[in-house]
Amino acid sequence: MADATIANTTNEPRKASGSAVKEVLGYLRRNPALAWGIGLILLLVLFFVFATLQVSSFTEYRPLSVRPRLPPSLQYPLGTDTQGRNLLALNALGLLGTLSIGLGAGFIGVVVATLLAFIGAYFGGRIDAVIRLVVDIGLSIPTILLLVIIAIAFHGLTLWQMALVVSMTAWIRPTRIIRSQVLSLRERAYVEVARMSGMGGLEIILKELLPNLMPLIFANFVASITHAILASIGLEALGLGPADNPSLGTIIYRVILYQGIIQGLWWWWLAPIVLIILIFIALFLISVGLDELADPRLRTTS
Amino acid sequence: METVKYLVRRFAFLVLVVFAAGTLNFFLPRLTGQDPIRSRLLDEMKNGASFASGISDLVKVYDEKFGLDLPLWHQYLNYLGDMSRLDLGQSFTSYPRTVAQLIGDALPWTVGLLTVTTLVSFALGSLLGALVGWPKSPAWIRAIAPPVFTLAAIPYYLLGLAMLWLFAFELHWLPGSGGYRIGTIPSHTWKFAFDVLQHSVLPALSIILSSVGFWALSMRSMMVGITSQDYVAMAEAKGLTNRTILVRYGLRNVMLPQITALALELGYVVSGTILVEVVFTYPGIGLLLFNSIKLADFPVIQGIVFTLIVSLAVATLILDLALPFLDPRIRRRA
Amino acid sequence: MSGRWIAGLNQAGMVVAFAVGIGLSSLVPSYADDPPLADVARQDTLIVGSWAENAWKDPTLYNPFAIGSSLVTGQGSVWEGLAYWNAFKDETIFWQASGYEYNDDFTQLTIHLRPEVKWSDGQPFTAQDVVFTMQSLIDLNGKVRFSKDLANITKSVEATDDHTVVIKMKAPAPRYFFNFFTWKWNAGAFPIVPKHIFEGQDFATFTNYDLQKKWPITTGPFNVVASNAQQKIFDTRDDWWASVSGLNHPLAFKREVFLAAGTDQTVRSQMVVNGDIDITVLAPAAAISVIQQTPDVTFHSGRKPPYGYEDTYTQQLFVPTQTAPFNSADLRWAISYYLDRKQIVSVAWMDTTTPAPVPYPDFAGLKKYTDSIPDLLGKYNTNEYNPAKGDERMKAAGYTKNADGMWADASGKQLKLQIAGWDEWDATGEIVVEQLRRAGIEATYSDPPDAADQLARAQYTSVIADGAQGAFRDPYEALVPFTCARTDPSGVRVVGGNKTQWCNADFDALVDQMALIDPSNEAALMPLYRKAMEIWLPDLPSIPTFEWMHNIAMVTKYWDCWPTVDGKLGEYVNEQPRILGFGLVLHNLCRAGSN
Repeated sequence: MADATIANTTNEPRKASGSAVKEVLGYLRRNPALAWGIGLILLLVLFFVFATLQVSSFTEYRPLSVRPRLPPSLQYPLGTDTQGRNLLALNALGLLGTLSIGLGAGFIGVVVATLLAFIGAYFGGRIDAVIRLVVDIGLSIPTILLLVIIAIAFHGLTLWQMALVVSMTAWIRPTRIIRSQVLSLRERAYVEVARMSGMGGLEIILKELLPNLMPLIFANFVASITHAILASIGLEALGLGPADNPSLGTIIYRVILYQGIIQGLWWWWLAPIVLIILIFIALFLISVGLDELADPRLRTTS
Repeated sequence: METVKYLVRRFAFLVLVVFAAGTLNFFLPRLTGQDPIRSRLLDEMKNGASFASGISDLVKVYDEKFGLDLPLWHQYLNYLGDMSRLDLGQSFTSYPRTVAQLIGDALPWTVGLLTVTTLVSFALGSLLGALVGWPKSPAWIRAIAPPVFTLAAIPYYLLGLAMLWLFAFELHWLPGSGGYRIGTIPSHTWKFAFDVLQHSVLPALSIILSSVGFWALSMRSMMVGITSQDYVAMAEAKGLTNRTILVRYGLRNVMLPQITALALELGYVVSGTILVEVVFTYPGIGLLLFNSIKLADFPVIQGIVFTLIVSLAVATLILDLALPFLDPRIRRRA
Repeated sequence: MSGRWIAGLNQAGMVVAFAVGIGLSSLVPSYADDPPLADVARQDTLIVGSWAENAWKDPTLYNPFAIGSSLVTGQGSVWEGLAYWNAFKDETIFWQASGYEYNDDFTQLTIHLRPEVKWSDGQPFTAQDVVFTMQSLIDLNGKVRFSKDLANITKSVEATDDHTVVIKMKAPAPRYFFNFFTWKWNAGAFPIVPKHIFEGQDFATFTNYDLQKKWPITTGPFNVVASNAQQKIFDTRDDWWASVSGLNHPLAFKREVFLAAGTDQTVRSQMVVNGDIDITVLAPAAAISVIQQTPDVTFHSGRKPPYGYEDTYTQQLFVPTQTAPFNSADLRWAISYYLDRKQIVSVAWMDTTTPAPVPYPDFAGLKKYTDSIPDLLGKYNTNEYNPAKGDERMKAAGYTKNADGMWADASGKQLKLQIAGWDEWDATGEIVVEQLRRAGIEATYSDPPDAADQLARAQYTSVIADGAQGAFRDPYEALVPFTCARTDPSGVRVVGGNKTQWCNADFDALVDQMALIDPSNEAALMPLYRKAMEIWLPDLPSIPTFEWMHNIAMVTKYWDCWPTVDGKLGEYVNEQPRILGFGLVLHNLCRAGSN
């Protein structure tokens, strides 16, 4: 029932843009988690915009660019590290890098998951059994173990290779969730109706199932971004991150490597940790909000 | 008959998981193309050396010892054979210590830490989640919920890092590294037990803090689902007290799915613990794995991954088999 | 009913938790079976943090020759050497041996042993033990460590009486005693093992560890009382031969705890500040921070820079000199001119090291030689930062700057330097990369886990950062790693091998002559050294960067008489706990505040 309502709203023709904005805002007021999550993302965007305006050149993320070990000041709002990097430039680019890894890997993960789920549901039988088996096996293996070994094997990755590595495990859980939803939708009455009206399998998938699954797919997209960022920061903090592209986890790795904590350079580690925490909270709130969107029973306000 | 079929299928799946994991486990480290024994011997001599002309002979001796001179398929067969006999082999870097010995020394630390933290956070989290999801809970519970939920979003090790800095370096309240005070020897004394406890507070706290929220969240959503059910309204109509309804209709119905979730999440909990152990140099499996990866000690890496996967698979199997007996609804369906 | 069910679950949880708590102590570890230990007060204990970050070899292996054995993790405290060596004064300190002499052409070596030396079980230490150890190693011919080195050069070894060993060599070997019997760093030397314990045992597999039997039996001042993956504990013996005979005062402490550090720098420096540990290695930032936090810590150079002592490995950039484009001396010199070593030292090392003009350290024995060629080093200034000269050399090597300002060869291919180093090089690597990029060379840095192996096989693609073979006292050791005989891409001669594969016949001839000269014969070595450097410097097979320093924090809260420049005993040895010479520190330590 819930799914049907959402499908209806998304399928409806667009109203005048003014009222659409009002409607979205109205919905956000009823769904504070989603609103806060989006707000935090906007805050991160704002941070990046601020960095763009404030930093004289983003090349200052490289060592030897500015005087090392400076505490935060008007000129360097986040200070500088021991090797002469402008930490505002570094954190802004790091944020970009980490989010790129997350979005890239999350996208790959959810696309692969959706494809596998539909392939399984469409062909059924042996192919479905194999997909289910692979997913079940994947779910029983702690992913970080695999990722660590892979990252060591291909030491010195670029940002996109990193995203690829992380996406290797990002599809497993979404596949399972989306697949089971596809299976349950397949039995619903309106699919039955569509089938009887002579629609082909592919048509049913594209016209009936996919739109209905969008909220779930989107929720899984957010979940797999979270998973990917979590994994990538974990790998980076262990020193297995991309060699030349800035990312938040790599900043933390350097803090550990060069003993930033005992040197009293609090601004060095505080900024990336705050950024990481903001990212996770934002993603978390968005996914809570999306859950409410997908399952109105969870709505706390009425 | 159905049950037997199910049992057989379930067990076959277990074997398959173990086989798949074991195979990945064998080939992934070898993709690195490193020569671990050579690297070890060379590293050892990095700090100055004269003419160690014999090193290649030595590498040969070691390679034969570990069967690394055989073709890859042969090594793989040997490996499968060893695994089926649960023989985890010998460590490269701690030779002649066996992998089983190394894991045996580290496992109790991890098992202890994990069991206690998982149980505590599971109990605390489920309780909190249930109360938050219950419409008639006091307001203060609703107030503490969001911060706790938020903690769930922070990775274990970041929380660990922050606590390490605050409690160990700034405040000096608690030891920040190791499993027990340096210079003491493990013994069956209260003093030692207290020491161990003290050292495990920070790692345990960082795991508990960040996983309480997880359990609370899943509990809350199930609780919300329950409260909208007709039988709850019925119970209210019957005039049962809030408390009774919460326990009899709420908790009872969501405990089982929650326990199932516990089985599924164990793998994630284990992964998180690995990094926490590294942050706190806690002498468990995670630290052993981390160090073995750094030293390319294949047999130890494989042994640990294999042990973890097998124990997780077995735990899931037991839970799967036990659930129908606990929950009549599942039994009926099967 | 359901309430009881929940309560039951909670109860079960608590029971499990409790059982785990109890179980922890019984489940645990194989080492919990060790005999119980007497309590020793902190002020009677020396706590040593090992540098070997992750390399804790089997803690129950005390046979120095066994497969898997390593001398760096505390065994250097347990065993003793025939002699020790002090790099800073270029002097040999005789210990189990009282002296040695060679015949005129260095084909025979006679070693005299101290008659008062005893094993820890009371048996006398004799020439039979030396002969047994050496002969066993020679007979094993490559099956265990040290064996091949010894077999290659030794013709025979015999005991002429209980305290005299005569060794005949296959070729003149004026550095035989220094190589095999003088304990310095971890290089080449090995302990003599007790014949009455090792006889009949397989050197490759015997563990020599049994606390009930008080194994290992050594001549050293300790009994091993515990040994596990976290720590090794050694209790001081009252009947140690050196204190009984008056050669040394009894050890100042009652127990040595040798930790497998494994803890990161942050934790380790906190332990230093708290006095939880008496000696350990710190990275530059950590070293500077502990000095600010406590007065109870000192370093090799006292409480002022550069803090550390220098290693036998001088840090260099190695390139495969037989492969294009690195076969061009112009290119190598250009890279050298592009490196601002002062900036590297100040930013990456926080001024805890100094640039090095030559590929070997300036220990007392070697400095004399370096100081004798100021004119050569002026003409070929290996430490000069001069981008203009670098550009000239790049052009001479056939490169031009492309539109992006990067150097490209005639075919338009941009020059790429992939620098590989290892963890201690990380800070430097990032700075070097940045400097080279600014000069127009596209450089990257990484620290692959098998850097040492890549280097040894010369299989690296462009540049690798590492030290040369350790050089201790004479220029022969410093230059021999650049000879043709040590080139071998198959990696057969790995340690001390020719990492750049550079090969020059004239240079070789000079080094071959040096091999036959007594290392203390300065007059004969000096002219040969000069001629060799006249070939080496213009060609610059490796690019010297700076000294590699070990910043070792020595805590003065409980113990003093550390080997520091300004200490009571001066710099009598390098204080690295993992090296063989650490025994001298143990011998000399005194209580803080005493004299």
